Amino acid sequence: MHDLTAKQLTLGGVVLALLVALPLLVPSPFFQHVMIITFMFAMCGVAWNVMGGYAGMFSFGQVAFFGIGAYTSSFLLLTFQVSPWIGLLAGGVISAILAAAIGYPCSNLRGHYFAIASIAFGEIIRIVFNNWHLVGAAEGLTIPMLKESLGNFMFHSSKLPYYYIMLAFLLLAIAVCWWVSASKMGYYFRAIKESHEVAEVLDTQFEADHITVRLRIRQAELDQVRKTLAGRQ
Amino acid sequence: MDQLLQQLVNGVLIGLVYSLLAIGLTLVWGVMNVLNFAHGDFLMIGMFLSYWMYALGGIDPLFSIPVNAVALFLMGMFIYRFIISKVMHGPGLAQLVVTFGVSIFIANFAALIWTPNFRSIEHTLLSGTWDLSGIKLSIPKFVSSIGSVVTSFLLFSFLRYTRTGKAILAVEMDREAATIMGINTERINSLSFAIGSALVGVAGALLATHYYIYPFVGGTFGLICFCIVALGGFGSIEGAFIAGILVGVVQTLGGYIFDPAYKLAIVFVMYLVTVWIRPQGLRGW
Amino acid sequence: MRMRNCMAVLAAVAVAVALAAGPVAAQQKVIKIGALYPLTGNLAATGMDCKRGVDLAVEIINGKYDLNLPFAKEEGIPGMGGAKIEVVYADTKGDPKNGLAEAERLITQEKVVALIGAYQSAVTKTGSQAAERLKTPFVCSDSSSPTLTQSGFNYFFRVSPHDGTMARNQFEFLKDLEKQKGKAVKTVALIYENTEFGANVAKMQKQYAQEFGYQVVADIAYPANASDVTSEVGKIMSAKPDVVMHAAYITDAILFTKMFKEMNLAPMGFLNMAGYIESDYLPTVKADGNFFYVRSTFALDLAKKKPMVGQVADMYKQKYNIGMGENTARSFTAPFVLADAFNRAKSTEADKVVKALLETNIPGDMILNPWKGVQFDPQTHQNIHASAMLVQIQDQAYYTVWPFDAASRELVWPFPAWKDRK
Repeated sequence: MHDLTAKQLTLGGVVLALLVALPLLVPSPFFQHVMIITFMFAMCGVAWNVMGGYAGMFSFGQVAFFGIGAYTSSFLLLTFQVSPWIGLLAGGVISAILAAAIGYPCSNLRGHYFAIASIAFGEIIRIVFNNWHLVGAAEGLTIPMLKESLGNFMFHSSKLPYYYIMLAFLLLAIAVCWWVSASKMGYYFRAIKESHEVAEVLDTQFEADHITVRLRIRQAELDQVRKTLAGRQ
Repeated sequence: MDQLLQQLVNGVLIGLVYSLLAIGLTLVWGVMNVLNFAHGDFLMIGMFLSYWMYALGGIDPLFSIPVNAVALFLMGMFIYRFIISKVMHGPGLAQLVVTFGVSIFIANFAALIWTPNFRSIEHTLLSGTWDLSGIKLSIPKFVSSIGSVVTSFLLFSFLRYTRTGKAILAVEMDREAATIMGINTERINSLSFAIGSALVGVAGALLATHYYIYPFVGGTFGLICFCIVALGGFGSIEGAFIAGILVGVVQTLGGYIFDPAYKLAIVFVMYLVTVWIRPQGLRGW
Repeated sequence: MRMRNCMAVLAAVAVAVALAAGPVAAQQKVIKIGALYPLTGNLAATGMDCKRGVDLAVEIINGKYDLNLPFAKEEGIPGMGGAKIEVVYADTKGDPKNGLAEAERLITQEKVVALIGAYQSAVTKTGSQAAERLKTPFVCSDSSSPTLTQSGFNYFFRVSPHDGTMARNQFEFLKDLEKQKGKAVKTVALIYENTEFGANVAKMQKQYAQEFGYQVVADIAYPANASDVTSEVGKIMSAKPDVVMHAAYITDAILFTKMFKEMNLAPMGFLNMAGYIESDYLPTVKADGNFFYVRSTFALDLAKKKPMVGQVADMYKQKYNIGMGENTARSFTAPFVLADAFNRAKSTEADKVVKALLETNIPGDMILNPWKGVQFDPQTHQNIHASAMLVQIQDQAYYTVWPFDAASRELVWPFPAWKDRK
């Protein structure tokens, strides 16, 4: 799976070229909006895949990391006027830390228990943010309309920049996912999926677990932040 | 102090309702490893059945219990045979998505044929509130709790003391071994799903005596249900029962003592702490 | 291989959407406006109420009726050559994300020239952001969060009162109660559902409580979709307030009513918002709803002073076989405001319509609601005449009880004990 045939590479290239050309061929802003949202969800899916697809640990609370990323970058923007690009990375880092914190104790959980734990975590985050006045409680944080610029990550006249940025990040996410699957960690994940017991024997479980969580989160956050930005446009 | 006791009492009452909902879900989950997202919507169907029997036939919801049980049993069996069994051999995710789809379909179909408006049953045989030296006990809620205890006990006895019941437990513990022993696991699957649905139908009849009824009411109980099942340990009936009461009490007392806005968060924290200490839930294996 | 599959599926979806996203041609003699409402989901019943109000309004504008409403007596909008209004509905499912997406879709795909809706303030918020960005007028007559008119938007207008005004009305009522009826109140308990709507109401109520000199003894937020409200009511009881002020949607209004009765909570009065005036509330709780006060922008007894109200209510009852409620009456007004603007602008071009909206001056006797008229503040675009009255539920129906000179019945105060009824 890591040795792509020439045929596969060409096909991939063609599809990529099509996606790049698409918004220029179909100028409808609604269509571009749908594609942007599609890319965003695709990124989420890719991020989730690192844990769910490879390691077989289904997590349903991913949205929490999404939200944390979104809130982090929005909060930094509103309070400290930090550029969304930095906010993006900040969101990622905070999510990673939180994920490690949660991931470690949860690494013992199997299948369904883990799934519910992830939902529990997601809900806790949601409730806290809904009531925490620092981040706007129920009203949330509204990003004001800033001047259009790349630095501000805000484009008014057209959705094209958002489209390409999202596409670029999606490719980045896929690349990271691919890198994980090709690495030693990826093999450990697949071992976990096949059988927790066997993987434990191989003594890889613990580390693999929470690193997975962390990585996946890393991606998830990046998504989120993207999403926020998508939400802004 | 008085208020604290009141909160505790109410917590137990609502907890027992949760318990009844949870045992149906845990049975299905334990036996077939399928998370039935449509559980809340089956509850809604049960509630509506009781409502229509009351509105059109003047039948008190308590008498609709056996009707609900049978109707939901058949409905469960039907849905299992024609929808869920088709994806049992597929990946776990497919099963989840299918039940999710059933959930959306049932809720919206109900909204279509019955309109999304709210209904309620006003005059039940046993209604009103008892005042026990300052502590208010809602009679319908109390009756529902008794109903829940009785039903749970019946289920428990069925599983422990009848042949079929033991077969179900066997499949829950180890599917392959059960097959080797000659148990028809496919039949057990559909039976469990049907029983789980019947249980939730009974819960629907009991809830209808004091809760509002509308097509999207399933969503209100769904998430808490999953949490309770996990807390109690998948597949464990006693676990789900205890966890239900526990969640009811923690939710109510926690909301009263701290802040109602965070009451669900408190429940989830309790869940996380519990599984960190005991990864298989309270009574799971 | 994974990457290739990924991209291939993406590409297929992209093509499918592109094909489906073809533009729709607009017709000449029809003015398309978009309406955002929760037609499915928790608040579907309310969404349908609003939709019926809009449908009735559009029917009156497009047809010929002998009613004292703008453009009722002729077909269509005279200033636009008799053009008729066509409403394109979008189901928001009660979710703010959909508010944004659907608003965009209505404007860019369906090519509507204006938007109305969306009942839930959180959804109207995102929808109005989309409208502002896409430079499309949005006339809202059914969302009450004050923040909607505080963002400095150019294209958003609100006809109905916001929660700030209505919170203030509640305290004005309490003051009047003391001065004119000699019934004093000292403490209030605030309880509210936990989204944009409730949170904002509470904020305003706290502000006005201080301004008017009342002490807030409880401040309780709760999740709207709760299955049980024992803790919340328990907290209120521990605080022993004179008056309880509850901001709720319908599901919680029903649950709380039952709980109030069960726990025997009977303060001097309940001053409530929203959920208690939903058309499904009284049919569900029946006599238990009696004696609650609700802020309202409509009541059937307004017909006594304004016959047109009675005529419209009758028309509604004949068409839909249910009584007209407040949500319907609020949503009913937006199409008229838009039609009036189109009429004077003689165009559907956004900037001309906005200019016309700013010049709106519809007199009070030509609107269904009990306001002095419709006139927008040039800065905030809020209707300066919008305000709320208080109705009290008596004999399972809503009666205007305040302002006292507009009352159709004498109010009942304090709240009668639960066991002294039925």
